[in-house]
This record gives sequence, C-alpha cells and structure tokens, in this order.
Amino acid sequence: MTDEPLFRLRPGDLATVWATAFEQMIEFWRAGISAFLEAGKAEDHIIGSHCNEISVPAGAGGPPRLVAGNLVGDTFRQSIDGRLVTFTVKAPGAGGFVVVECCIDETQAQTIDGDTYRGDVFDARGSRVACLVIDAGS
Amino acid sequence: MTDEMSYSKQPDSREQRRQAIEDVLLAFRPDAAEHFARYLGRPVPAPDQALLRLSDADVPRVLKHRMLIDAMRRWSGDMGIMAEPIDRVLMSTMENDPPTLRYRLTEAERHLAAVIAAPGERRLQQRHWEKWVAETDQLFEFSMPEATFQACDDEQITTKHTPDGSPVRCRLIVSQFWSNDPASDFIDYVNPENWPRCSAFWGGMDPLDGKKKLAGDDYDGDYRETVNIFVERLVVPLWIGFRVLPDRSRVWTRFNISRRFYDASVVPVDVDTGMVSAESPTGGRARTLVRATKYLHWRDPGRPDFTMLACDLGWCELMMEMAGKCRTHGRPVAGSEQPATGDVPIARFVNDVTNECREGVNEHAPHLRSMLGRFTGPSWNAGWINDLLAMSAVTAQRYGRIAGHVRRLASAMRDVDGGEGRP
Repeated sequence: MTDEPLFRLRPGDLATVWATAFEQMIEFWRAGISAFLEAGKAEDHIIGSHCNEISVPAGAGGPPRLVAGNLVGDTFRQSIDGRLVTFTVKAPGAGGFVVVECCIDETQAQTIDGDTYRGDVFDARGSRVACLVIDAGS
Repeated sequence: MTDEMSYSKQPDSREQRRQAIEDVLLAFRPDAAEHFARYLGRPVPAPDQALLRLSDADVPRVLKHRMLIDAMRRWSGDMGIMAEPIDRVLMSTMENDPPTLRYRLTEAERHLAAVIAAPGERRLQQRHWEKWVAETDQLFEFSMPEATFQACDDEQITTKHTPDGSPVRCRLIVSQFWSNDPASDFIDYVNPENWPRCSAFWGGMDPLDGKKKLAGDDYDGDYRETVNIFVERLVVPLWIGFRVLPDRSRVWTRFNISRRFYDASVVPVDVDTGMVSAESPTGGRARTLVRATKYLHWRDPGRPDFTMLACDLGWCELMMEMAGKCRTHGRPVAGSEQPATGDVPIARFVNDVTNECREGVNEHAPHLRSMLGRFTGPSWNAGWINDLLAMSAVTAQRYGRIAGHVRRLASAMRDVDGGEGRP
C-alpha cells in the first residue's frame, strides 16, 4: 500500500480542469445547437454554375417580376449588386410555375472578383421565392 | 530526331504519361496537328504508334478508354492496322486473368465497334461514353467516378473580363464525377498546392508572396501556376482561395488571375478563373460531386490558342487523378469504390450513417483511453471531467451529421417521388 493520497485535488489542478471544462461546455453547446439546426435545415445544397434555373410562381398576365439580393461570394466574401442578375423565362412549369434562368450580366461585372455568389431571389412583393448560387466575375 | 530517339531518353512515368496523351491527340486530329505539331518537340507519331504508346503508359484507364473511343470515331483509315493497337490499349485496362482474357477482349472489341459506329459527331460525346460504360460495366467493373465521369464540355462560350477590364468571349470548361467517398477525402486533391504531384501536366504551383493562413485549413495566396503542354511552359499568376467548411462537407478552391502579378507582356492568357470543388448535394448519384470549372481566354492572337487543348489534356487528366486519389493509374484500387448501382438513397443513407458511427467510435477512443488512464494510474485526477465532456461534444457533432444525412435522405425520397418541392 502506498501513502499517496488517492485523489490529487490541489487547487491548481482543479482550476485547470474547470477552466478547460468551461471551454468544453461552450463547445458542447455549440455542437448541440449545430446538430439541432442541421436537423431543421430547409435549404438544399445547390451546385453553383454560371447560370441557375429556378421555378417560381408565374406572374399575373406576364413574366414574374424578380430581383436578386444578398449576393455574397463564398470564398472572398465580396458582396455584389443583385441588379446584375438577369432573369429569362425559359419554359412554363407545372402547377402555375415557370422556369426562369438566372445569369449574371458579365458585361457589367468588370470589377467583380471571380467567385461563387450565394443570395436570394425576391418577387415583386419582396417575398423570397428561391435561393441562387451563381458563378460570376473573373 | 526520330520517334525512337526521343523515347530513347526514357522519360519518367509522369513524362511518359503526358507524352502519350499528347501524341494520341495530335495523331488523330490533323486540325490540331496543323497548329501544334511544331510545339510537340518530337515528330507526330503515326496513329497506330500513338495508341501503342498509350497502352504502355501509366494513364488512368478511363482516359485510355475515352481517348481510344475518340480516336477511333475520328479515324477514317484502314481499321486493319489498328486492330493490334486497339487490343493492346484494351488489354492494358483489364485485369490479367488469362482464362477469361480472350473472351473479355473480344467482348470489349465488339462493344467498341458499336460505340465507334454510334450516331453523333466524329468525336467522343457524353452519350457515347454512357453507352460504353453501360455496355462494358461487367467487363471492367467501373468505379463510381469512372462510370459518372463527364469530361470537359468546352463548347460553351461566355463573357468574362481581362485584368484591365476588357470584356472577352472565353471558353468555359466543365468536368465532373461522382464518388461514394466523403468530400473530406478530396481535401488534399482539391488543394492546388498538390496538383503538380497529381497531374503530369502541372509543372508547379509556387507561392509568389507567401500565403495567408486563415481558420482551419483555409488559405489565400498568389501562386505561379506552371502548366506543361508539349514543350511549352504556360505560366500564369493566380490568386487562390482554398476553403474547407468546418464540418468538412464541402471543400473548394477558387482561382482568378492575380491582378498584382499579372504582366500582359508575358502571361499567355488574360482570363483564367474557376473553381475545383468536392461537395455533397442532395439527390445526387452518389455521396460527393467533384467538379472543376474553368474559364479561359488566350491573349496572344499571334500564336495558336492552347486553351482549346486544355480540356483534352491537363484538365481531364487532373480530374481522373483526383478520382484515383493520385495513386492509381491503370486500374482502380479494389473495393475503393463500388460500381454504380443507380439512385439508391436508402443504401447511401445507411452507408453514411454507418460511416458516422464508425468514425464517431474512433473519435471517442482517445478520450476514453485518457479517462480510463486517470482512474487506473497511480492516483485519480479530476481531468476525467474534461474527457467526458470531449466525448459528449463528439457525440453531439456526430448526431448533427446524422441529422444532415436524414435530411438528405428525405430530400432524395422526395425527388424519387417526383414531388415539385419548393420553388
């Protein structure tokens, strides 16, 4: 048998343990929140391309009025003006929807860093109707 | 200098790989040979000789098949002199199982003849590749990346801007494949610093001004990219951003011409922008889509446009090297990828969740070992609390990833049902 105490509960050790534990609790909390959000995440993962096709409700008596916004580059985090995105109705979709092709007007994009830009598409009432992932700039 | 002399230098495997691809391209494409033969640095070989060299070279078998089909669709000469080279190329991509080799070779020849005669342009198109894969899968047991490989479609033209702001019409090159491996398995290969190690066409990717380390594996930096095509060294300064999402579900490299280091008098292109990525979209054919997109514009009108060869040469080869994890050429590693089984989201889900559990157990192991050590050592200490918390965090992270797989399964099942889903 040894005379050493079974527990080494020196204050310094305990301080180290609980300081580390505090950081770990935050990490645990963050991981839990991430897991919770992941379960409820509604967005599909879209592959970026130089044009996207989206399906949106057809406008009354004409093509839907759409505008892009919140466009931020994935890599370099540069924001760009949503008005650079052009919308072209490609085909009628099912159930009162139309298929619209969204592209960047590259002729107006000479100052844009090449990147994949993610953002939203809004209708005339300002409601978000789709997300957009588009390759632009050079 | 004769052909034999140029090869008597015995180029290393990497150089031999590059030369074999270049030779087939020029031997079967008189239009390209007219412009580029003088840059080859050796005589353009006869078509049959080019195929024989291809059979001997350490080239990924998908590239061999694709080059063979493309070459023979273009070939209008005597098929008799091509019989042996065709057999040699096909045999170089087959398992060496003598009792069945003759039968498999005959079958492959039969299917090749059908693909050569299939309607379409006199070159390899995607539908020809799909026909080849569908009809010869039992012979070659294609891996997922091989079966789903879509080589460059460089027929698309789009507008981009040069570093001085001038709009030009440039070539868009897209190439991709699907893999059953997670996106995190491709981190090393998406990282452009490793491209020279993977591809025979990349001569270097050298930092120009030191790279800026960001969080995790991420970095930004100016690099000097050197691509070898024929005897030409095409050197382009690139501004590169390399990113890995914290959950490692997506990794990508963005590259643009570096405005800081661009010198229009020496750089051969004035648009060179694009992305190489590995990511897991919903409803795909497999777990991960590896994709390369590149926009190119040749600056010097006084020299032939090398960008028209980018797709047939380096870009395809780099992608297939990535698919083989830069270690296999002739044949894939057995069992590393299962053959395409169609869209089976449930099987993919089971596979993903099983992987998460296995990886989770592995991640728990060091913390568990540490915790047990605290109780079985000469004395106990209170650090077991930290080990327990570390294991809890691993568990939470893993359940988050499993939740992601459940969500992807739900999306895939919705797609299978043909639902319109959200706009």
